[in-house]
Amino acid sequence: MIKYTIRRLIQAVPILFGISILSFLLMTASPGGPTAALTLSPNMSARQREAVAQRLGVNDPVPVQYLRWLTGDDWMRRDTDGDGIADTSIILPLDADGDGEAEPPGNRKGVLRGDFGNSFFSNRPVIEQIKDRIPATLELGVSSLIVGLLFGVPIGIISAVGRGGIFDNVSRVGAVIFNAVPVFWLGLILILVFGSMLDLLPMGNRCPNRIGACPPLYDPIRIKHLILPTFTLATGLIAVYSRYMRAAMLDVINEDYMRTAKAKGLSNRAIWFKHGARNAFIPLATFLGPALAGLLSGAVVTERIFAWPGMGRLAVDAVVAQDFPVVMATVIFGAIATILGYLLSDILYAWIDPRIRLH
Amino acid sequence: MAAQTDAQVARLESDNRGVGISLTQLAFRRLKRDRLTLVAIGIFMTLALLSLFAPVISNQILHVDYTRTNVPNKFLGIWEREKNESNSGTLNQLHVLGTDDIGRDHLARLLYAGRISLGIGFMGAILSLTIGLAIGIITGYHGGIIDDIFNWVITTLDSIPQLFLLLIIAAVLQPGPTTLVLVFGFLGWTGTTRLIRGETFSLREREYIISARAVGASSWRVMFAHIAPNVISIAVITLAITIGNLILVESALSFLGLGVEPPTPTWGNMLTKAQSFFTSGIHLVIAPGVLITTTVLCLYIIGDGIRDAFDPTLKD
Repeated sequence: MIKYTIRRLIQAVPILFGISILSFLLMTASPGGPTAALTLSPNMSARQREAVAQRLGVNDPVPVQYLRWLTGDDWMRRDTDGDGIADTSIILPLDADGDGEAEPPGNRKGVLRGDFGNSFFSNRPVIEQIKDRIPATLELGVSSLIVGLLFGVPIGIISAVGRGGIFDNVSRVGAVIFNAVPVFWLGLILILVFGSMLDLLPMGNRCPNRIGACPPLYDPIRIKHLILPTFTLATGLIAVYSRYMRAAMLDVINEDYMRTAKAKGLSNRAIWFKHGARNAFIPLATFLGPALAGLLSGAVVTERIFAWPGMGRLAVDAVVAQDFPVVMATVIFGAIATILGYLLSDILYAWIDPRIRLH
Repeated sequence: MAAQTDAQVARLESDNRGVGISLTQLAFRRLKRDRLTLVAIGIFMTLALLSLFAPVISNQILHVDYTRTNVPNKFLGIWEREKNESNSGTLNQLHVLGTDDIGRDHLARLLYAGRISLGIGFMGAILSLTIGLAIGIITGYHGGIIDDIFNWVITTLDSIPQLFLLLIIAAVLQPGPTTLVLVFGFLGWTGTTRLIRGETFSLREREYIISARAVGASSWRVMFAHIAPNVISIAVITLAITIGNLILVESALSFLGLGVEPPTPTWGNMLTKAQSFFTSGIHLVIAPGVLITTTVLCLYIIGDGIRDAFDPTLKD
């Protein structure tokens, strides 16, 4: 299993390279270049624009830019005698702007060493912004996953057991309808009903005071804030999980061991939940990867509606502001999370079902 | 043995009737009996026609211009007339579904929005299925290095959460309807390709393909004259569901302000400011969402119905 995990992680490397190249190319292809948002101001002189472009290195050939983004430029332009001016360089010219003086040494460490550059606007390191936002997204994602499983699995089991009955039909129709409802509209309606009309739950944010630390997660006020976004994000999961669980349960329900369990005189509940559901869980594990990818995409919309300070909102805000270092970082993190999600679901699959051998 | 009489022949023929029916004929026969799918088709066609004839309906029947702003008459309710003291003799302009935050007729905008939303979904689905079909056949037929390269591309594309990829593109391009169709087409083909590639893989070894190659048919001819007709149904069956998915994605993007930009209405971007309508016009929040949900729901039901109808393993 460890061997398999390592091999899968190695396989993920070219995929991540592909994603980074793709998003980097898209970024450089944007009209006005990646610095368009910074140089938009009409008050800026041509020389100032040139200086910004120079500082961010967008005049270099695209492969060099990519290399700098990936590995940094502190090894490209170095200062060996400690006078603050670069004296040795490879790949990059020593005097890039042609003013007769050497440029200062490179200070970027590159993505491979955890440096995603600084945000164009806040000037903070992007990686710090991401670190700030991850807990909020994780909180929302994990709680949605739990709610999705907590509701989806029992609904699926009960529908399968009472196949063709009222509960089965209602839940199946419900699943199709909830798959067709746009997440953002569902969120809006929930806010409208529970936040605006009934005034029961907060309409957004992670906790009441926007500035400063939130109370700990078990605090009732935090849970109150979590309810609406969680359900908004979880309805899709509930719909999908209940359908998967129903299908998987129908597959095992006629197995011999189920009949044996019944013949032994076990209670219905023991038969369905202990003997049936445990085996029906196996195919469910494979759905964890796609579910995580779906959660990430759903989080983008949900976080926007509920003003939830997570990665998804960071991504949307960065896109609107054309803050490319942040956009790139959120995409890379999203991709890493997706790849890990798929890996996790494959490993889980083998772990639950000993018949499966990973090679 | 005596020659069979006409009656006997007729009886023999009638016994065989129903045996020689094609899969498509069988599918249509099944569809005709599938009431839920028929209802869904009916509702969907109605919505599609209303959107298609949006100009006629808004000009001739509603007598409104969907772009005309009228701030004094903003946030009119359902079935409310414009408040206007000057012309007391004639009836004031009626707004069937009220007006939005700058006084534009809501119903007319919904109809025009339907054209954009449905159009993007439909064109995007056709494009992505066509690309998926072509790449699926080529990679499945050739295998080898081409297959490996496309496999890498597919795994890469599928590893990025779809919305994130769309976000970068929205950041880079200024998206409009045409851009969105192209983007959906060039990003959404991976699923179709996987299905088609697998099917092509198994067809490649069939006798009729081998005999086609034996008589000297070129690979292009084998791929597109012999294999394509046998795999195209896989793509067609997923058409309705793909359109539904794309409508959902487009509405989400437009809602976020990263899809089709106002003043061009789509069901998604009509909801961008929805949170500020909570106190002034709830119908502005409800109507676009109901239309998206109904359309997508119908498309999913139609998709399921078509898939079942074409499923050769299902019995009548």
